[in-house]
Amino acid sequence: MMRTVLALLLAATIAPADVIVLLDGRVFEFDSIEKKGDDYVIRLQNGEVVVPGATVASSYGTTAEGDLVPRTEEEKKKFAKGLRPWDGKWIKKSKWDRKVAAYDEERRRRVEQMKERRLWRNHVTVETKRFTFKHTLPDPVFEEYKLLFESYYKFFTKYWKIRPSPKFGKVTINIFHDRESFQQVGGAGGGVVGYYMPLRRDLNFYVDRENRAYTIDVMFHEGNHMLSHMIDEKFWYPWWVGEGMAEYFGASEWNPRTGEMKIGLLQSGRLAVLKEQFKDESKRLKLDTLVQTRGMGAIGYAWAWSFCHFLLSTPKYEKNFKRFFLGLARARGVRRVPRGMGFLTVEGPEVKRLLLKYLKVKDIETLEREWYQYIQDVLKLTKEADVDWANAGYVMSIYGEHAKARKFFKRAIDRGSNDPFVLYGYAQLKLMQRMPGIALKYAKKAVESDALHARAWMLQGQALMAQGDTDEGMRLLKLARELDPEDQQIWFALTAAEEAARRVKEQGG
Amino acid sequence: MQRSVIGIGLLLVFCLPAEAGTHKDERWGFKIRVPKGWKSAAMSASEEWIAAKFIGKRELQAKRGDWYVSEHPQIWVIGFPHARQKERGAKVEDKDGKLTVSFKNPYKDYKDFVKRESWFVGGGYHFSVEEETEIGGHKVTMYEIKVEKLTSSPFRIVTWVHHFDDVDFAVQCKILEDHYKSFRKTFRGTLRSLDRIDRKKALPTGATTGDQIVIGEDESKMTPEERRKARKDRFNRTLRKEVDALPKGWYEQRSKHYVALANADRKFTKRALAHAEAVRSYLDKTFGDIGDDYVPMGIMRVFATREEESAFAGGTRWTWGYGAEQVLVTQTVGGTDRNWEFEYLSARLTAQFLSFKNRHLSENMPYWFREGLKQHMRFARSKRGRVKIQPDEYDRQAMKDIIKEGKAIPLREMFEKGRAQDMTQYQVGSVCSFLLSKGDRGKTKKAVQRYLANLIEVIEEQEVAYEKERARIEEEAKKAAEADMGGPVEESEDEEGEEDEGPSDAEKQFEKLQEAMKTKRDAILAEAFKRTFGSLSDKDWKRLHAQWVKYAS
Repeated sequence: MMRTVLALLLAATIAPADVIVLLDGRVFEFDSIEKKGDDYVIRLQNGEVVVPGATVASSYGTTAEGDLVPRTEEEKKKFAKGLRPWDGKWIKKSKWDRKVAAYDEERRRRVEQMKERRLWRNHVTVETKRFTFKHTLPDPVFEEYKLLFESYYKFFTKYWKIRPSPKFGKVTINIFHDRESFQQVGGAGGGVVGYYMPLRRDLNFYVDRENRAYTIDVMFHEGNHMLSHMIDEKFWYPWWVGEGMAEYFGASEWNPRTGEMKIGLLQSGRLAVLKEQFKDESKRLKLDTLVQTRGMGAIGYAWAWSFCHFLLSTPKYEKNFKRFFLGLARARGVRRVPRGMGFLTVEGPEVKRLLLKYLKVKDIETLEREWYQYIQDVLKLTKEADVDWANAGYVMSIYGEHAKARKFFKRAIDRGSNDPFVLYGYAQLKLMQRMPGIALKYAKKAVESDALHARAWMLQGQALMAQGDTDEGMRLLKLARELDPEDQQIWFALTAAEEAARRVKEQGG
Repeated sequence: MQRSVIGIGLLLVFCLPAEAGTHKDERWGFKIRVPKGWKSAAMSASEEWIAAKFIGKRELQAKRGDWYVSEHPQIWVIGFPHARQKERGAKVEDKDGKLTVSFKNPYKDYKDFVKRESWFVGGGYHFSVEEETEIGGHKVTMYEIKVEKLTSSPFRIVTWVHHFDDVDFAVQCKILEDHYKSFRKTFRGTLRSLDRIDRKKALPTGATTGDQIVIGEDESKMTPEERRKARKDRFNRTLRKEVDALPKGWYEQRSKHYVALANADRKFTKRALAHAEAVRSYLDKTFGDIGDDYVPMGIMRVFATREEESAFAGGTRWTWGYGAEQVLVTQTVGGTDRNWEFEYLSARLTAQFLSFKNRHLSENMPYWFREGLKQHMRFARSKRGRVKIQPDEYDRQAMKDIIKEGKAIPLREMFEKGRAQDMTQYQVGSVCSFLLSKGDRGKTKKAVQRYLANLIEVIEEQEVAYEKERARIEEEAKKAAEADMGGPVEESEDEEGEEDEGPSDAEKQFEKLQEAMKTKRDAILAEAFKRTFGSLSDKDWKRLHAQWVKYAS
C-alpha cells in the first residue's frame, strides 16, 4: 500500500503512483495498477494482487510528473478540458494540483507523526477541563476519542444526576496505538484490553485498528469504571455491579456529530456467549451466586451485563435499581467494609440484602425467574446473526478462550458470513491450533473478500511457512508488508519468519 | 580452614578492588567506579549475564506510592559477549549419566534483556531516552527507562551500554523516581566510569537463557558407594564455584555438616551453623533409620540484609534442582533463633536431609505427613546443640481457633484419606508434633517411626506398579509421536464438538502420568494407614483425637 507514503517517508518528494479507490472508501496508491478485464492487477515487488472490479469505485494511473492518466473515454474527454477528478467531482487542473499538494503534505505529516508516535516517549499530552489525555494516535483518530470522553462525562453526570467533587482532580487517560505498547508501557497482562486505576486516577486502553467497534466498547467500559469512581472516590463497587454496569454502558453508541449517546443496546458478543450458556440449564448462573460473588471470568461479565440490562430495562425496577446503584456508595445504613488501599466496599450478603430491599422483592428466586425470562424472551440476537457470533468470537479470543472463539467464528462463517474480519479471525486461530491447511484456506477466503487485507496475506505466508513452504511463505509475508508498510504486526511476523528461515538454513534445511 | 584460604586467594586474583571505590572484574575484563559505601552483592556462580550488582547504602522510601514502598537503589553491570550470538538453539548434553537439555537463546542486546527479564523492571515501562554518544573512543548508547504503570511506586532506570569489539557492557542504575534527582550525579559518575582492563580468564561463554531442564543424574543405577562419591564430588564442585564467585567481604565458615558462605555478622553465622547442626543431629536421631544413603554436606548462604538475598536470588540463572540447591538465610535485625529465618532454615534442612537419605520416601510422603513434618521442624528451637520443638504463640493461637470453630479434621480422617485442601498447615504440624511427643505412648507408641517404616515398604511395592504404568504410558506416547512424524496433523473444522481447548498429545500424556501418580499416592496413603493404624478401634480414635485436642489447646 501507499508507495507514495514510502517515497514521502524516504525522500519527502511526490513520486508518480497509480491510485485505486475502493467502494468502501479506502484509497490506495501503488507503483503499478493495470486494468485487466473487469479487475485491477496491482504489481508489487513480491507479486501481484488482483482486486475484483466489483469492489473498485475508480482507479487512475499517474504520469512521471504526478498527473493522472485517464482510462475511459469519458475521462479522456474531461481531461482534454483540463479537468481532474477530486472527491467525486471534476475540478480544474490548477485547483487539483493545489489540492493534491495539500493532501500529500497532510499525509506526509501524518505518516511522520505516526512513525514518531510509535514510541511512548513521543506521546502527546492534551489537557481538557476534566481530563489529561496522553496518546500516540494520529491526531484525527485521537480527536474522536477525546470527544467521546467529554460526551460520556456529560451524559454520565446528567444520567446519574451527580456532580463530581472538584477535589477528585483530573483523570489521566492513556490511549495506546496498539496492543503491544499497551502491554509494555501499561504493564498489562495477556487478557487485559483496558484498565482503570482508581488510586492513581489513571485509565489505559489501546486502539485496535482491526476492530474499532470493540475499541469503543472497551473505552466505554473502562470509562464507566472511571465515572462510577467519581460518584464516591472512596467506594469500590462490588464486582457484578461494577462490571455489569460497565458492560451495559460499554455497549453504547454515540453520534460523533451531535455528541449524543444511545444506551441500553445489546452487547452482541456478550449476548452470544450468554445464549450459549443459557441454553444448557445446568450452566445457568444462580442469581444468588452472582450478587454475592467476589469476581468471575469472561463468562461472568456476560451474566452481570444481562442482569443490569434486565433491571435497567424493566420499568418496575429501573428507578429503584438506579437508587440502589447510587445508594451502595452513598446511602446511610449500608454496611460498608474496608477493601484495602483506603477503599470501602459492600460484601456479598449485604449486597443481596440491599438489592432485595431497594427493588422491593422478597426473595432472590423470584427475581432470578424474571431475569431468566428476560434473557429468554427479550434479549435476542439481532438479525445480523453472523456479526454477533463474530464479535463473540473476537471477545473470546481476547480472553484466550480459543476453543469458544473458534466455535463462534465458525458459526458466523457457516451462517454465510464472508466478512474478512471473521474469516481472518478464524484462520488466525486455526494457525495457532497448528492447523495450517485450514488457516490457509480461510486466509485465502479473507483475501477473496478483501484483496487488500494485508494481514490476511501475512497469515497465508505464515501458514505456508508452517507447512514447510518457506520460499512462498516469505514471499507472501513480504507482499503483506508492501501492502501495508505501517502495520507493526506484519513487520514482527516477517522478522520472526526470517529468523526461523535462518535457523532452518543453519540446520541444513 | 584450608578452603577459606583458597577462597580468599581466588578473590584476590579476580575481584580485587584496585583503589577505593573501584570495582575490578578480571573475569569479564572491566572496571567501574562504585559510589562510596555501596555494597557488592554476591551472585550465584551459575550467573552468566549479570557481571556485578551493587546495592546502595541507604534504603529509600517512596513519596509517591499506593502503600509503603521502600527500596535500596541498585547498580548492575550486565555483559553481552558478541560470541554468544552464535550459540543459539537447543543443546543436549549427556555427560556421565547426567542429561541436560539447554535452550540457548542469548539476549540480543540490552533492550532484549529488559523485555525478557521484565521482572526486575517491576511494572509497565517505556524507554524515555535513547541516545548515542562516544566516551574514551568507544560508542555508548544511553537509555532511560521510566516505570510508571502498575507499579508499587514509579521507578527510573538509567542505563549506559558501552559497546566494545567483543562485548557490550550495560551499566544499569535503578532507583525510586522520587529520589532520582539526588542520585543523578552519582549515577552519572558510575555510568561514565566503565572501562576495560585485561582479562585473566576467558569471557563467560555459556549462553543459556530460559529454562534449563536437568533430566536427571540417574543415581538409582549407582551402587551406594558410587552414589556417595557422586554426591561428594558434586558438593565439592559446587562449593568451589561458589567460593570463586564470592565478592569482597564474604567469608566461609564450616561446621561438621554445613558450610556457610556469608557476609552476615560472624556471630550470627556461627549461631546459624550451630542451629543447623542441632537440627541435623535431631534428624539423624529421629529419622536416621529411614535409609542408608549418604547425606552430603550442605551449603548455606547467610546474608547480612534482605536486599542482598534478593539480589542473589534475582538473577538470570537460579536453579532449584535436586541436590544442587543452597539454603538461603538472612540475618534479620536483632536476629534471634526464634525468628522465621531459622524456622525456614530448619524446614529446608529437613527437606534436604530426607531427600538425600531416602529419595523415594521423600517424594512419596502423604501430604499430611510431609507438610506436618515441615511445620513440626519449623518449631525447632536449638540450645547447646539440642533441639526443642516449641510452636510459637501465633501458631498455637491459630490452632486453638480452628479447634474452637469446629474446623479441625478428625485424626482418623486425616491419616486415612486426608486431602491437601481439607487440612490446615497448623493442624498437620500440630498433629505431627503430638505424635512425636505426648502422643508417643500406648497404642500410638513409636507411631511415626512405624508409619515411616510402613511407608517405605508400601512405596517400594507401589513404585513397581507405578513404574510399569509409567513405562506403558511413555511407550504409548512414543508410538503416537512416531506415527505423527510421518504425516501432517489431522486438521478439522468441526468446532461444535469441542467445548474447551483440546489437550495436546504432550498434555494428554502428562494427564495420564498425573492420574497414575494419583493412583499410586492414594494407594500409599490407604495402605500405610492400614498397616500402621489398622488395629485401632473407633474408641481408640476418639480417645486419640481428644488427647490431641488437649495437647493443641
